[in-house]
Amino acid sequence: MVGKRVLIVDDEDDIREVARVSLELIGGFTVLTARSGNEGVTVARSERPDVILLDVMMPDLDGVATFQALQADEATGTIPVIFLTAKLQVSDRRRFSGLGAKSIIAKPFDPLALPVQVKGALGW
Amino acid sequence: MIGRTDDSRPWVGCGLDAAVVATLGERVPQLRFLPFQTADQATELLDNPNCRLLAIDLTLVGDQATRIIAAQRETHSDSTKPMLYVVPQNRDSDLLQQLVHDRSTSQVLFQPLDVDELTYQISHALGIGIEESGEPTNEPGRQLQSAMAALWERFRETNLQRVETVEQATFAAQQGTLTAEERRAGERAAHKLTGAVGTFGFAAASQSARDIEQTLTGTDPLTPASLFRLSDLSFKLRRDLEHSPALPATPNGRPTTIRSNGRTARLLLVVQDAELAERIALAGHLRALDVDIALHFAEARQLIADRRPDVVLVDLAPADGSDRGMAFLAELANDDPPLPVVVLTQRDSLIDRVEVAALGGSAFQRKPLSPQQILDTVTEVLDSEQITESLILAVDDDHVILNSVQTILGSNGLQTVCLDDPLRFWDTLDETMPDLVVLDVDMPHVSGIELCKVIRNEQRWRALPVLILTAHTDPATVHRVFAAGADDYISKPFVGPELVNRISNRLERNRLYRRLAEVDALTGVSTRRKTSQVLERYLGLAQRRDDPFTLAILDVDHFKQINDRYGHASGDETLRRLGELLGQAFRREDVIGRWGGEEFVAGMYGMPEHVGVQRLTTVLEQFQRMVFRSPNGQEFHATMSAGVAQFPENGTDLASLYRTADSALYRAKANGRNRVVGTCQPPPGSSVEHVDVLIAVDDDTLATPLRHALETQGYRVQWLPNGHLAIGALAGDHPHVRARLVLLSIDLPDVAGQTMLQEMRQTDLLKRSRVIVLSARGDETEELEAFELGLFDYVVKPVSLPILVQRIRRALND
Repeated sequence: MVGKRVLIVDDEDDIREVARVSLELIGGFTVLTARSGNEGVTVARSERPDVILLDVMMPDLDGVATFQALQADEATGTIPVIFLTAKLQVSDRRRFSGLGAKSIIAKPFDPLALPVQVKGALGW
Repeated sequence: MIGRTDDSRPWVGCGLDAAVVATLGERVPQLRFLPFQTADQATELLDNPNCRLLAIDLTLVGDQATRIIAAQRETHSDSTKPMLYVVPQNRDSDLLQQLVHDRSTSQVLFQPLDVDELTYQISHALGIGIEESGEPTNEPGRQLQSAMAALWERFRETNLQRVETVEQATFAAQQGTLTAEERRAGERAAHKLTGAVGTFGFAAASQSARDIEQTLTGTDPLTPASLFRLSDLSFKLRRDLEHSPALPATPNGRPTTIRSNGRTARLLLVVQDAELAERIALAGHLRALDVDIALHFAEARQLIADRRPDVVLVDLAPADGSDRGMAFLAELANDDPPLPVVVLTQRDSLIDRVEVAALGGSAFQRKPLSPQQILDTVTEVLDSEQITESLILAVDDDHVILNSVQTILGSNGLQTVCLDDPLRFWDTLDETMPDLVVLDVDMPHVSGIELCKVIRNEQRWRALPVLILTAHTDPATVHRVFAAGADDYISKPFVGPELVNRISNRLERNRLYRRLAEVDALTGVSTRRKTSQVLERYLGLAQRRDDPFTLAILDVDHFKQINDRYGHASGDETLRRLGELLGQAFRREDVIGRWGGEEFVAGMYGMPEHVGVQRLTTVLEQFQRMVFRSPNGQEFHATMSAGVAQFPENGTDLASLYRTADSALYRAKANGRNRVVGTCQPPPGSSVEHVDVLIAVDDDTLATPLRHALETQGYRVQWLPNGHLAIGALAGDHPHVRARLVLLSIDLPDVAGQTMLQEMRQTDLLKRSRVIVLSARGDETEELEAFELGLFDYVVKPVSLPILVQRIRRALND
């Protein structure tokens, strides 16, 4: 489990930092971060993380568009993606799973539970 | 039989409200809380060895109380099963005296019951640490918690700014001027708050933000009901984020010490220890309190008669061991209206606590505490008195309504003036100068709505909160209410709690607005107006007391270039982060203000210049390490310069001190910026800082959490983001840092890691410090070379934080 690399893509500094300390300290993951969808795609391509946590609501390239960009690329198409979203309604859940997302984690998340949620979603 | 046998938790018998019992069960899962209603059930519990304590609300069990107490006495006179009683706030009850002198009584709490206090007392009596409950007990969990606290400290301001955006939208909506853009901004801010603050553990605030977001979504016009909801929610949002116990106090958040009538609050110290009195008085002066000192009770009585204080601090440590202190408290309690009293005592005995509470003491502290801590309590008491001191003017032609308003508000400590003739409104308004007005909508001659419009047209009453009482809450009426400029409406027939809540919310809100006028919105430090007031006061005080005082002027170097090159948003961000840094770096009693543009001032009372220069140098170092990022992703650093002047050497008034500090600032700029210039030199030998770990890494996403992780483990850490700074600090002409361990990134942008290592070897640094090299390549040749140069460890990136921390600890302890 240790050594798995997680990429967090979120434009909010505070959310990104909380997710980082949570996944590093509790989960023992190696954490990579990106501040935007575009940056996320670039980092994913070069670093090939084991999983990507993707915020839905971002300026410019939003979560869904980022996801599609990742899917379209051979290098990143197989990396599992978990969406992070504050707007969690049944319709959203259906829409994201329909897209092919591995899982959806609701914001606000509990920093103590986040690593477990991630591991659970991926069967690690 | 009560209780199951397979549950080994100790029992607590509860003759308490069912909701309270449920809360206790949630908060202290280590105990079983068993409710009882009758004396027989209580006796059964007393007989059971599993039952460790009985908590009884005497106001609930009524006539059973005497029987329970009697049963406890008779059957268990030798045992020590502790009893906790909740009693009515009744000052001279025989029962109370009995309880206090009963050996089995472990604690007496007063109605209205504070569940937190109850939880604490029960856990305390049974030796259960409630602090640990609900908290993770594993090590990473604790680390996470302290990391989260630090992150909140860092992002608190960001989130409060989001709240401000929501408030702006709410305010504009109420004024009817909400633009689509403002609405979208409010919605976005609320959305971000939902995700962010919930993650930091503010569940209620997160829910409020979510509701606000939903209200603002879309483009449909906001109904009066949703407007109302919006204002309520944004109020709660700020309150929850500012007042939550999870939050550390803001360093610069000075409590209000100005009374509602504009006078400075007066504190009377009745403290026998003259030195302690002096120290508290000085701290009080610094918080703009008027302080009188009485060393004897007789002196105190005289002062109370001559200059009535707003709060009294009594030290219950009579040198002669007599009970005159309690007698004095009794006198104060009989004063009409009673004076708020804070009591200090050395003994934390139950009898003292109960007697002080029964005598109306507002707070109770154990000595020894610092003067600052003591004054924190005093100002809390003052602040809570502030609201109840408010005066409300209620206008209605219906006497029944007026009477019930007065009764409800009166029982909640709000003073009300009633007026049944709306035509006498203006005269009464001038006479009473109320803090809030309640107007009935339907009155003969002139309606509440018309009165409200007139109030809003009058310059000096424009900020006066107005609430309208109305039987009609149809959209048209509600719209007229808000259109007239009213702050809120209350529908008739009204219920007590709603009336009280709406009124106290408004009063509190108004106090907040007053405070906002004293705080610079961008940087969070004081406004120029507020700052100069405080500086003048400090100077007066320094003169009278012959204390040192240091004034500094700081500004951001090349600020115009930052704006030009990276945009004004980046410039603002630079100022904001500097303001935040200053707020953290200085003491609570120092005054930090934004003087205008990129210029800040800092006033340090009781601090000689060289200490001030040192403090500013630390700020300067921290500031130059900050990484800023422009909207288009460019990273940049900023620096600052400061000039320092000292009272009385450089002047005795603000203007002359300012001139000296300003010319020192000019010299700092002329000598190359990024420096602090004073008028005197610091004493030699004080300039080398010893740290455990120096982090020479340019990546702040690694350096920040690493630094935090090490600091929470008690290591002193310094972070320098580039090679030149690191070399300068460690090896330059005047090295000012000595580190036990250096974590050196080999991929620093400005100096090659190999060069750094060679430099360190040449200057013998490698003999004094161990070095861990951090490399992104993991190149074997590079690794070998580095080891040959004498490094301690070689770590390949990416590396997980816990592992890196482990290796650093090994290097420090090996």
